[in-house]
Amino acid sequence: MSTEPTPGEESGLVAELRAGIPELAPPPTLLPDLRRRYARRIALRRTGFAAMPVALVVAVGVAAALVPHGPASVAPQLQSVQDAADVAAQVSKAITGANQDVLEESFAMTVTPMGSPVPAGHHGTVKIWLSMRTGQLHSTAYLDGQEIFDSGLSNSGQFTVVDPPHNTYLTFPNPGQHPELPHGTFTGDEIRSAMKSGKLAITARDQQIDGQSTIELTGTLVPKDEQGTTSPDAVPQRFWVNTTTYLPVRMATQVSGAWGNDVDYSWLPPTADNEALLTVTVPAGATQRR
Amino acid sequence: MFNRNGAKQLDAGFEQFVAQRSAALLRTAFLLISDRNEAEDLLQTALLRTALKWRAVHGAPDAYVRKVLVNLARDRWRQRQRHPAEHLMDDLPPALTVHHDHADTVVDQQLLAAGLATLSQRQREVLALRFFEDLSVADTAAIMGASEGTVKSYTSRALQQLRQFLGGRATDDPTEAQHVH
Repeated sequence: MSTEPTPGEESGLVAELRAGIPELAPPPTLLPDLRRRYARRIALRRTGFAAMPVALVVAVGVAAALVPHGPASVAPQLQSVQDAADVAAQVSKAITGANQDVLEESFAMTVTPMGSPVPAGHHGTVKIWLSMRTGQLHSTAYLDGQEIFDSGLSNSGQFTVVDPPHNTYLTFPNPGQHPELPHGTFTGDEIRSAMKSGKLAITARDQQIDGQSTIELTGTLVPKDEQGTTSPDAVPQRFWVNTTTYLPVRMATQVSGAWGNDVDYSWLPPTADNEALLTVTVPAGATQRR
Repeated sequence: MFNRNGAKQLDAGFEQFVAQRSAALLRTAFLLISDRNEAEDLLQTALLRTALKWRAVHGAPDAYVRKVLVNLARDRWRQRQRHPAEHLMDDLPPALTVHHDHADTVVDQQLLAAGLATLSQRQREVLALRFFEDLSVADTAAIMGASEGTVKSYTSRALQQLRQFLGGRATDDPTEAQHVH
C-alpha cells in the first residue's frame, strides 16, 4: 500500500495543522523593545562599537549621538569630473600612504555612553584613536572637557572600560580582534570609485578648516554593512580634504535635510607618544569592579 | 573613519508593518522553533534586522523577515543539537497550551506539536512557509536556499511523516486516543 498522502488527505492534514497551531499574540513590549534596541544600534554604529561582542556592548553601555549643525545647502554646483577624478586619486593615494598613522576622530555627542542625554548647557564630545596599521581602537567620551568614559585595550592586554567619575574600571578578556572601523567606513578605493562614477564631486575649493585649506567633496557613498552587503540607508556625505596632503580633515552627513554630525580627523604620525593614545590607561587608585 | 549616520527612530512604515504582521510572523517563528519564548526572541531579532535595512526591504519586508527567521531558527537548532539535554523536555507540548483551555483542543495541539517535533528542521520550514505563510514553492525555495524540487520533496515527506505520526499515535496509544475523540 502506498504511503504517499492523497490530495484529499494532504489538504485535510494541512487544515488540521492550521487549526492545531494556536494564534499567538506578540508581547506588548515588542514595539517599545524594538524602538529601544534600534536607537541603541544606531548610536553604537556611530561610535564604532557595533562590531564589539554583544555582551561587551551591554556591559559597556556605549551610546553617543551626533549633533546637526544647520540647514542643508542648495544643490551644489558640481565641477568637472576630471577635477574630481584627480582629487580622488590623490585622496586614495594619501590614505594609503597614511597606513602607519594614528587617526584621531572627534565629534559631538548628545547622549552619553551611559545612555542619558547630555544636559542642556553642557557639551559632550567623543574622541576615537584608531591605528591605521593594526586597527587598534581607543574611545573616550567627555562632558565639558572632563573624561566620563574610556574604553579600549589597556597595557595589560585586556579590554578595559574606565568609569572616571566613579574611579572604577572593568576588564574583559582580549576579544582577539580589534573592533571594526566605525560602521560605514569608506576606503580610499571606494572614494575614488565613487568620484569616478560621479557619485562624489568637488563642490567647493579653498575652504578653511582649523587653519587648513581644503577641497569640499559632496555625494552619496554607499557603504557596506556588517555582512558586506550594500547598506540600504546610505545618506549624503560631505568631505573636506587638505589641499596639500589630500587627507580628509572633516566629514559631515545630511540627515533629515540638514547637514551636520561633523567628524573631525587628525592624522597623527606613528610616534611613541601618538601610539600611546591607542591604549587605555587605568587611573592610579581606581577600583576594579567585578 | 568616515562615519555614516541614520535616523535614530523607527520608520513609521516599519512600525505599521510590525503592528500588522507580527502576530502571523510570531506563529511562523513558533512553528520553526517550537518554543514560545524562543519564537518571541527570534521575531524581535528578525524585526530589528529588518528595521536596520528598512530602506532596502520595505517593498517586500515579509520575504526578508522570513529569511532571517529561517536562518535564526537554523542557528538555534544547531545550538540545541550541541546541547540536546537542555531542550529535550522543552520542545514539545507545554508551549502549545498557551491561551487554550478546551481539553480536546489541548490534546490535539499536543499531539500535533509532538508530531512536528519529529520533523527535521527543513521539513518544519516547508510546512511553516507553505501552509502558514501561504508561499508558493518557488518563494519557499528562495527563502530556504533550496531548489523547488527539494521543497516539494520536503513537503511530501513532512506531510507523510506527520500523517503517519498522528495516525499511529491515535490508534497505538489507547490513553491518548480517548482524549482525542
